[in-house]
Amino acid sequence: MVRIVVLDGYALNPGDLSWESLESLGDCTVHDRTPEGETAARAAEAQIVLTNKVAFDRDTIERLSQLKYIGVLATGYDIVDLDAAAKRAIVVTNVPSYSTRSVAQMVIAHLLNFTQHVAHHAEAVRQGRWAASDDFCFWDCPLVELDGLTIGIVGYGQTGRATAQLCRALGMKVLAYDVATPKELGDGATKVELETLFRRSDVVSLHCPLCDETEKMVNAQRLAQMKPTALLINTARGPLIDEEALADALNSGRIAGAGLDVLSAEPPSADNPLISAKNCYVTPHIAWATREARDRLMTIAVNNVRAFLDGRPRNVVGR
Amino acid sequence: MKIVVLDGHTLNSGDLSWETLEALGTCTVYPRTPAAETVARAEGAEIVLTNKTILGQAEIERLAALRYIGVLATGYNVVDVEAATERGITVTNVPAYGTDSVVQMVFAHLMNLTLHVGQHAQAVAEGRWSRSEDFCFWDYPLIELSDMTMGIVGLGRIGQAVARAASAFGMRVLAYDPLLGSGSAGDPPEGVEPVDLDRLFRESDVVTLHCPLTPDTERLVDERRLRQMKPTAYLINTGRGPLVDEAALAEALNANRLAGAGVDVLSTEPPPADNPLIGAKNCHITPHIAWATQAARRRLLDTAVKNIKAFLAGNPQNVVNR
Repeated sequence: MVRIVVLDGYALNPGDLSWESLESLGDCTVHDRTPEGETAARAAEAQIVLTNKVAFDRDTIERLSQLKYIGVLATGYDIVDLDAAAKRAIVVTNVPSYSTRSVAQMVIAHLLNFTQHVAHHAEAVRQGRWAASDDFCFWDCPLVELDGLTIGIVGYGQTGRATAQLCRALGMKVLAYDVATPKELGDGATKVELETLFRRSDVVSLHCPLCDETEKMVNAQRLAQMKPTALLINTARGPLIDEEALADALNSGRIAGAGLDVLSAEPPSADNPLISAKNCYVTPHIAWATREARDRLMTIAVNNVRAFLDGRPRNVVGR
Repeated sequence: MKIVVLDGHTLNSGDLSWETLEALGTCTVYPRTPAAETVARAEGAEIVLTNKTILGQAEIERLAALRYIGVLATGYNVVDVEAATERGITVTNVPAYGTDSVVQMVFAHLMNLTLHVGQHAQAVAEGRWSRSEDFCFWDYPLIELSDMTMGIVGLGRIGQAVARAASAFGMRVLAYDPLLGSGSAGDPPEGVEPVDLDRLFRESDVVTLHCPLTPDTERLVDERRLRQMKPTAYLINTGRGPLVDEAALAEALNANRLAGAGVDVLSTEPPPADNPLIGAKNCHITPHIAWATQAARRRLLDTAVKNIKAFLAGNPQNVVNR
């Protein structure tokens, strides 16, 4: 019987989903979490491992002689050394597009948190501020209407496009940058160069994969191109941003705000400069985690394993 | 021409300019006016502008010079229009200036209820993520809107715009409007399913109110309607506070018969400290700010000034006298 090990299953299923369909495929062990030093020991006998954020570098892969398959429980698969896996003929799969709609919704949630500050004002009302007010209304932060403003989307894949559609529904204009997409984006968005995108957008939202070319793509130079009234949103991967540079730009008022669902290390160190930066709203990597999205993720991940066992692997990544 | 603005503070607390209004006459702008001082301040003015200061029959009868009341809002229930009409006073409002901003606020409340960005950001600012064992954590169920059902009560300009945005989120859209299916105003927008109120409250995951406040709609959302709603559903009110029986809503929330409420309006504003919704479970109240984006307030002021110009030129616009 095939041995299956899930190294860090808690985030995907803290108890509101079921592992049953995976368990029906083999001898299955689910760990909630796996500390860095224990990956090889726990995966030693397994032909199939599933990982969400536990890394498989060259060293770990070379030590796992039984390993035939790494299933990443996420869309981004930067935690796996694909070259090392390919050399050992290990199949690596990911789960594409399960979170498209949830992530696009999170972009809008960050955007509207910044423009309307519902939670902040609701807390003020709870503390009695409205009851104590002279007027029928009050607000603590500028309230910004999105109609007519421009969003720039970096990376125009599924999530980028879904985000664009929601922004259009709120009356926004869409600029997009993508290395792969042809000239015609086909949905009314205007394709531009990165510099134009950063200069002209009132909101910049990142939706590109993390790779050598995109690491720290939002650096001091890019931030300096942004409008002082602009908002930066990152629901993709933390290392796309030079965090020191962003904290600097926020604290000195060179951009108006940031809404971030990802950081360069997760959980972050207590002294990550963005945690206390001015007008910086950080959510703890939850865009992917609606119950509906996790349900889809589980289904696709199990289907990936089944397809691999049937000899017709799907959602294979890398070379 | 003497012009008095009775309560200009909320429209323009300093980020807009009264200049275009001042160009039309001798203009006095009061930030606020207590009820007892309305007549003294408006005395001798031909033109009075009010946002929420009441001009009832008693005030109107005592203001002999008054020829024009400009309401600095869409809803004009602060003016006794009948008394004004009897005196030959023109009353105008400012329609439609707030549509985009109000639609945006509906979704801001909905995002707050489903993803709690503000509360999670506060938790991260307090160091909770740094101390977490995992790469993520959440304090509330996270809800995807796609495939959920939005029920819209009142399919006017704002209701229709909410319907379009809800469709973009992948939501199924139900709507109730007394005018739907009745003659020329009858066809619902594409993708919107017209239903009666019973079905709307029973089948919706989100109910949002966009009907005017009239004797027929006062306390439209009462205990009976709240009991028709799913226990997982949300209620959003950016319309008018009295559309909702507040005690009944507070009870439904506190008893978990409803998952949450996002409310931008209350029955009295500012509310008394013991309004039952303040402190009710999963009740998120914003202090009547949906209308107040800078872009919307600028449009409001522009239209209010144009209304006066049109009146002075002898062809008044946006008149609400019957």
